[in-house]
Amino acid sequence: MTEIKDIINGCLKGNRRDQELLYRRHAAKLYAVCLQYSGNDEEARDILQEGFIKIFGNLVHYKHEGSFEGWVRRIMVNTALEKYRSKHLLHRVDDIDQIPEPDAEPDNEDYAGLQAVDLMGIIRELPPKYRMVFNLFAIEGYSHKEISKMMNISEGTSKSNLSRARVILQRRVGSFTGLRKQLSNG
Amino acid sequence: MDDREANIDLLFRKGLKDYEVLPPAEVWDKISPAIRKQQRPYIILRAAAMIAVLATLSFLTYTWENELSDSVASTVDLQNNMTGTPEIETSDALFLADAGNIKVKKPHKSITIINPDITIAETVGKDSEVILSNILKAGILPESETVINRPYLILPVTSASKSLSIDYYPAPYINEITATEKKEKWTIAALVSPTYLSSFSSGNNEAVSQLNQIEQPVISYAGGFALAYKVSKRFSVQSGLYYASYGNELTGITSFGGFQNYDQFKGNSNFEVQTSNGTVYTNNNVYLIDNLSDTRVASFFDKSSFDPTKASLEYLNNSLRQNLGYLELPLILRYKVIDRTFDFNIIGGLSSNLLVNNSVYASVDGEKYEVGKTEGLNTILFSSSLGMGMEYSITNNLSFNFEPTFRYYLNSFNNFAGMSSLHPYSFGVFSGLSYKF
Repeated sequence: MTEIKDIINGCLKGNRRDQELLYRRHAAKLYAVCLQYSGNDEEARDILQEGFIKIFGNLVHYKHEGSFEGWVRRIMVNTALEKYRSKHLLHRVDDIDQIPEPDAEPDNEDYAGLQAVDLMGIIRELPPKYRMVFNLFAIEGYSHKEISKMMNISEGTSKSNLSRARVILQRRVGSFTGLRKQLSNG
Repeated sequence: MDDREANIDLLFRKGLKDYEVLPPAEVWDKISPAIRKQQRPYIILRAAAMIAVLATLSFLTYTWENELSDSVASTVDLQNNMTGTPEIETSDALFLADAGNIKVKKPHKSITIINPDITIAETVGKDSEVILSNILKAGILPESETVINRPYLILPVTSASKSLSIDYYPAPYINEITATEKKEKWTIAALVSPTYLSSFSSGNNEAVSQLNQIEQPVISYAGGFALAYKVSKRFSVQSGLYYASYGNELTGITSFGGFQNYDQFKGNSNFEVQTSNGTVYTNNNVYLIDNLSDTRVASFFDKSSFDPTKASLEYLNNSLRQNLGYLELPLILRYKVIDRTFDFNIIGGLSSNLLVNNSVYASVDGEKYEVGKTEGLNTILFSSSLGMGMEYSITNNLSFNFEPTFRYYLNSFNNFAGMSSLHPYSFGVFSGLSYKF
């Protein structure tokens, strides 16, 4: 298998084959990231496209120090964030109250049977700002302070968005597994 | 609550960690042309700009030359005199009128006869020693055609507006004109020049423009021979072969030799140095420390893991020299603006440059200590050039040439994506001897 360093050098020289190789090698994983950050497939495709154009345009800055996979993922997440900002700039007022409180804590925590595709479906159903905060905090590992700057919101909003996201996710996961149990029992 | 929250985070983090979804094929179809476009517009724009500059200059010099000759041209209205069968007196009248208006200093003049509905077999202007022959009836010759016929003659232009323009050369200049027209179509020249290569950056690629600021272009040299063919009185086409060397000082990088003994990796390239011309990969015998920037030099070895002052390394220099050598094959147009003992030409053209020398070294007491090579360089560069050519005739065939020339590179030295924001150019003052044959 060709070393990533060779592929990158090939891309920097404008080699078409290496450019396509780099894309093929990372497209599936990065497309999953785009899906995870977007509500619909069209938006995910746009993010993937813009993100890859940025990756190719910024390859010269990649220093071969950290993992290349981490580097391209960061670019993709940033692209998703920019997309989110451009789309949601006009809706900065918190609509936290529109989300109903759960009636009770979900009691079923047997999540083991959930597939990645189910998790992806659940995460994508979240309202955009909850999805964004949950992804940045729980998946990418950013702090609330960092997220507040990235999304131009207060730390408090970031925290409350996260806890709302978690509540919704738990409820969905609970109902998902509950439904499946019912189906298997019935 | 915290544990449960962490659990839901963990569930998603782990569950989605290796999740992959193949994107639709059309995504790559959109990315592919977009990344190709990133470099293209620069090249097209630069080429278009150079062509525009050359075209404008050619036009201006052409206009300038026309104005020079027009300023001495005179119009003689012979409508009344030249009806009927022309006599020798008619011709005299023509030249008498002419003699009053024209100072016979410039070799090239023209007069216009209005309504030249006549045929003159041959007329002789005695006073000004100009001989005209074959003045033809209006309408016979195509417009703007000028023929030099016999040693001294000149021929006429007719037009639908019934005016006949006659270009002629007064006698004292005829020998000179015919002499230069006949001989010396070829010129061969040997030229050398100091060269200075630099580049300006556009756009906001900070990393590249920072590198460009740290590095110091150094005066290098170029030389070769040129062969020119004279297409017309003023235009020549020139080609030749030059060798041009360009130097770039990578300041602030201290180099040490004798590192081979400490190189436990035994790799070929222990250090990588980012330069505005591309990445330099070192050989395994040198150790580098960058004193100016912490992003230029990359390596497994750094000051914390290996202390060069404690090892018995040989200090080489505190800067590196990056050298690039190109073989240049130009295609150049020369336009002679002033044609005297001291000629003045405008020179412009395009060149292809083939990379033939690529080295990075440290100077130690005047000796070169090989450090490595620059990788990823374009092997062929295209450049446009614009210059002034001054030529002083020592004898009839031998001249001294002096040509300040500016070169602008149409593609960058390296194809790195960020490099398209760098626009290399060079300046040289070529001087040498040329021989006409």
